Amino acid sequence: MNIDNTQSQMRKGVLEFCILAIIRQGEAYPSDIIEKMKAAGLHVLEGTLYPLLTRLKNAGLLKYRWVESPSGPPRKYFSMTPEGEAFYHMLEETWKEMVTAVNQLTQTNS
Amino acid sequence: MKKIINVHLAGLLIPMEDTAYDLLKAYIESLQRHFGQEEGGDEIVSDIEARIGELFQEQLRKGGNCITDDDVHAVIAAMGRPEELGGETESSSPATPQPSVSFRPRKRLYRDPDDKILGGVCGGLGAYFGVDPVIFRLVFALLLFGAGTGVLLYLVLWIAVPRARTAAEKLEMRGERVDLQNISQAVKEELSGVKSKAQDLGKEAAGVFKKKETTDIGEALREIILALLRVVGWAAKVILILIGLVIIFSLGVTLIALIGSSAIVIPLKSFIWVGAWPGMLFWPALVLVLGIPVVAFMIFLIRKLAGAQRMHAAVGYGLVLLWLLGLLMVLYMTWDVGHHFRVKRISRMQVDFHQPSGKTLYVKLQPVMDESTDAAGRYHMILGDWISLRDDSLFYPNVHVHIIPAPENDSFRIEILKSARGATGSEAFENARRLSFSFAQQDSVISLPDAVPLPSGVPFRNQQIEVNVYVPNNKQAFLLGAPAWQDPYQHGGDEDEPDDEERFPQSASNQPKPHPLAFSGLSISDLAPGWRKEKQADTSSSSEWMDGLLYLFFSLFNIQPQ
Repeated sequence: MNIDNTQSQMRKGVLEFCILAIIRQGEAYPSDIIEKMKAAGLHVLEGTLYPLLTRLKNAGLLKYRWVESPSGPPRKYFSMTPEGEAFYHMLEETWKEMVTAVNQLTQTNS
Repeated sequence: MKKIINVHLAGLLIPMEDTAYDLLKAYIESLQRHFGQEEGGDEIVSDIEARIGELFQEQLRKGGNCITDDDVHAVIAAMGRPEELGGETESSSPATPQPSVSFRPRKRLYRDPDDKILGGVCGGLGAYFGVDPVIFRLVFALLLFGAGTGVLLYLVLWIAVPRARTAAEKLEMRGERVDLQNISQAVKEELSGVKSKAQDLGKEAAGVFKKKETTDIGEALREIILALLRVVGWAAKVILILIGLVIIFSLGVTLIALIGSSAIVIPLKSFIWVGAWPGMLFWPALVLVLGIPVVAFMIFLIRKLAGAQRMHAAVGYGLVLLWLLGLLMVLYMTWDVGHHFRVKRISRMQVDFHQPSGKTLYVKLQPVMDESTDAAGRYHMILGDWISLRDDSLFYPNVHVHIIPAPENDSFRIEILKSARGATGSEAFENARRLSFSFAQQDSVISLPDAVPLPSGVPFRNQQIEVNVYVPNNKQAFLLGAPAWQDPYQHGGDEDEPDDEERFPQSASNQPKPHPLAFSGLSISDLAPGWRKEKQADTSSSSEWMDGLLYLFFSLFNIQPQ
């Protein structure tokens, strides 16, 4: 059993939830999202973020607009759609359930 | 020394070392390959490109003239290599188009080392057809009772089919369920067209019926039909393939046996097909009709073993055409035989002979058929129980003796009936006439051969000789030495006498049992009495010539060279 693999699987599982949580607080562009996740201590490969954003956008959960940048090409700023909001709430429910369940299990085990 | 080139990356002008550019180019291409399958793949890659551009710009702002190899490596490490992003694309993208079929291993027949009882043949067959190997085990077990065909078939497969050794080969062995899925896919597509039509009709009728019910019933029907088609499809396929294997195998064995015994078949065939054409067609027809399926099967097997090589369509059509040609030849030859067995003619002759001095006439059958070895050591073969070949002459039981009471006469009378078949009446008479029959007399003993050979050049048209011995009042006749092969139930001609008369030495009058007689020392006094043609009977019945044909072919396939 590869510990790295398991760890990255766990991170990947919550990645979409985290992205939605960050964007929900306000329009964000990918570099922002990465910075915020890093600041929170969640280390992911940047490359995994872009496909996820595109998929969430294609699924209608996110929308974006182009914003001119002072230093370079225009940036994609992502924001939530109402569907994204509903999706987020469902994920939030699941997350809370999972946290409770996992806490309960880890506390009884330790 | 390194060259610096300017690269236009996501709207930014980035100076890069040329080696760094090569690295970056390779990385982006690998990303394009990775996301290429996905919906919005281009967008993902261009987003990543934009991000890379940003990072490079940042790097340049911090200082440094250009982007170096190390910078590119750092960026790649931060973004991740495609294989590191891999798991995600598969698991979280329902929109991913099906991984193209060409990546799936092509299905091939292997022996399954993990599911075996003997050699894993059945396990492999089961994996190949996507059914439980138990089915094949049962079939082979049943074939055991079919004269061991199952054993041979199993051994052939065991030898011919390779064992799946590596993991890749095991994958190939299971492969994609090509047959079932493709069939059901095709049927689904077919049916969806039908279904949409049916739904249209249903919508038209919606004024009366609820539309939903109509589609539900249609859906259910479609599911049932699909399931049935699937079951029938594979069952038919499996059965057909097994039957085909058995047939092809027996064809091959027959062909080899016939060619192996050509020394017998060649002279025999010349008795059946006379004339240039049918005789010449015999071997080509045989080789084509029996050999083509065997050849086709071998090609099929080799192709299977060699893998994906597709056979040229012309080869397949050519084989089918050749086989049909052979079939035509066989049909023509069969027709030819039937044609020459169409009409039966009997010629009846009264024979002059010396009345015996006593009251008793002995009819002695001299065995000709049973002499398996000739005194002169001539070439002699017995085929089955019925036919023998000696010096290119065909022997078959064609002499039948009947002893008939004739109280109205006052002397013995012998009548000889020769019968044969032919395409026309005159041909039949000619065929009968060419069978020369004679007997010898020594006072009270009449000696007859028990079979008259058909010389080479005379076609076999079921020529038969009947000897009727009419016994007058107060006198008796005995039949002696009837050989074992003389089947009392074989009648060549128009019989109105009871069967028993030629089965045992028998008397026509109610005398006690005949005593054994010694024939040694007797000399033959009167050879070849003259024939007198009395009348010509003209009878013809299809069942009789069918008998003749069956009899002939039965003998042909019971070949036992001695």
